[in-house]
Amino acid sequence: MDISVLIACGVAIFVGLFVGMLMGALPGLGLMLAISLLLPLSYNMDALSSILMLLAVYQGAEYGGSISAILLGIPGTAMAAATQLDGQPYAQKKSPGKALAFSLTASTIGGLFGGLVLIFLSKPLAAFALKLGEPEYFMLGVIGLLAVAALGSSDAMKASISIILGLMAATVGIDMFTGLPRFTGDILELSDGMNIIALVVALFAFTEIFKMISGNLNKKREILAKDLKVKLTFKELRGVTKSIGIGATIGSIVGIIPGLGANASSWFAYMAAKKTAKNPETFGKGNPDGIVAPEAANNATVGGALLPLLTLGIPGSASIAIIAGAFIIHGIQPGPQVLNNNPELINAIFIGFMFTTIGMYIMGKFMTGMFAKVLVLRESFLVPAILVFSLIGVYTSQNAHFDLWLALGLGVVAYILRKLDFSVAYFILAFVLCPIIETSLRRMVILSQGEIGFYLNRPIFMVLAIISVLILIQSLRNTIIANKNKKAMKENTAI
Amino acid sequence: MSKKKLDISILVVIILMGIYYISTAVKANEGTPEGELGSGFFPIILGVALISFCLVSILKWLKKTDEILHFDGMKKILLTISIIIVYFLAWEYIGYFYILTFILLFVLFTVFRWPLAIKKSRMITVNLLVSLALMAFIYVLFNNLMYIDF
Repeated sequence: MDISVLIACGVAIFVGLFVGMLMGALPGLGLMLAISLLLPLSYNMDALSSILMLLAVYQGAEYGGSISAILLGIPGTAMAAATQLDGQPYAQKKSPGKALAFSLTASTIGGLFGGLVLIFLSKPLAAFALKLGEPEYFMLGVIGLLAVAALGSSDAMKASISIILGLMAATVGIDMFTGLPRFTGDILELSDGMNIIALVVALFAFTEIFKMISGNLNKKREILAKDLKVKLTFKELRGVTKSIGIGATIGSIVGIIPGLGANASSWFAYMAAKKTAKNPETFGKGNPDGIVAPEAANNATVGGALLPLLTLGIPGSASIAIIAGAFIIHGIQPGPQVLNNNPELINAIFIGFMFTTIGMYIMGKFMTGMFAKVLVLRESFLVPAILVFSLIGVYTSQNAHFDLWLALGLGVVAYILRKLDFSVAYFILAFVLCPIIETSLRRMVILSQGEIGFYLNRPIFMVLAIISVLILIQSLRNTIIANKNKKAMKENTAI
Repeated sequence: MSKKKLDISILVVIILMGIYYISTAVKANEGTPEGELGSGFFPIILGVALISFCLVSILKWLKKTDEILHFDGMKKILLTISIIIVYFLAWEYIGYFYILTFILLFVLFTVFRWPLAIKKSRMITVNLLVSLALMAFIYVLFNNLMYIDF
């Protein structure tokens, strides 16, 4: 590999980790905002560097979230909420630096484990994916959307509307089948479709900025600033290996399943570590096993979540959908074909992924103290800076003022919709999945010529169809249980 | 604000949007040869699904009790949006990106930090210095390193 490529990748990983850790550490900002801010840079970078940068953001934000969870008692990301339960008490009773060291070491081991799962499972899964035809791809796309709506949302109807709106937004532009423009309203800038960067910034950056503005921007935060040396002895590490193993395994498996993601995996890992612990009563009071299990899980989820994207072309979460956007920006459609036709790129991504994890450890070890100091920065300084970088990102993606107006308009609408429990994450996931779903559906309908036998003779299609029905049944069950619980709570309050 | 009223109003707007979307999709399908699928085929399915889900969501409100939706800090949000709009217009029609962005940063810092109980002259000096430092960083990053022309 060319030395200039190596330097570019190294710089990209450093930038990604720095921004990821910083945004992850600052409560209220988090992973999605970090990815949204760096995605526009993809236009001016090569495919490998831009993908590695976004993966580094993902890894960095997963660890960064634990910094504020431990030092402030406020999880920087939703994924770090489980870490806070034991992280903050441990920091208060013993040492903040040790608590951070537990988190960083577990995150690194979890990240490496997730990377190995990705490397070893990608080839067999891609080989399987090559056997799939259009109907199976259509069903996979549908399952991807159904899973997030059914498993990851409290209001299935609002989630479904968000998904349909995302699919509709993706139909704007030239129809690839007929070459005719659709829903462009004769606006030239829309003929290539809606700019994904304008969408991502509107949905994740602007809505978050408006949310922050609505609160107290001048709130002062207090951190546990003493003893921030991130160091762990071998004996201390040996004491938590079982919980790290549990977290890493759960994280990798959960990552592969669409709709669950790092948030769910950290809670599953925390509960599993507590159940298998010799002294479960110490959980919540500063048990290091309660720090390492969720941290190993949320970083292992990154590798697991990449697996369906690289092998099937199906992103399982909004953050992975945005990373898929970086592939698309460079004219690469993720899926089994890329794995077979462009092995150099995929191998470089695999190697780079492992380096992002190692880089995270090195940066975390030496820069956590600096990130901790940033935590006391008031939001009144952060918001204008984030806003300006978001605007520059949108403009530089296509040098079009139209995209700025589009982002602002959509940002305002998305802010109101978020208040009403619509999901911007499902919207963007549907937006990215739409081309696969629409193309496969249209080809499937043409190929089948209305014959039911066409579908019945495809065993994989039938299995996938059964899975989607099961997901629907599970979603219905969840809704009924949630309604019953709500009713019971109301009755209890009335009593 | 009543969540029920706002939610139903938004759902009605989405339904109207869905109707317009379907009618555009039907027009896009015109002239498609028989036996082929026009560019409106998939959008029609989406439009129908959207309207159906919205109607179910509206019907769900019949069983649910209303909640109060709080829109805190609306004045600050509207002021920020207005400042952004003025910035967009000035950038599009006048140019001078770096100067305008410096002004935007300074204005936003001042608006957001105004409630702080510190000496105003000191606050303005800090805001000016931070805006200047950020602009210098943006200039070096985008102009000198990434060669982006605004």
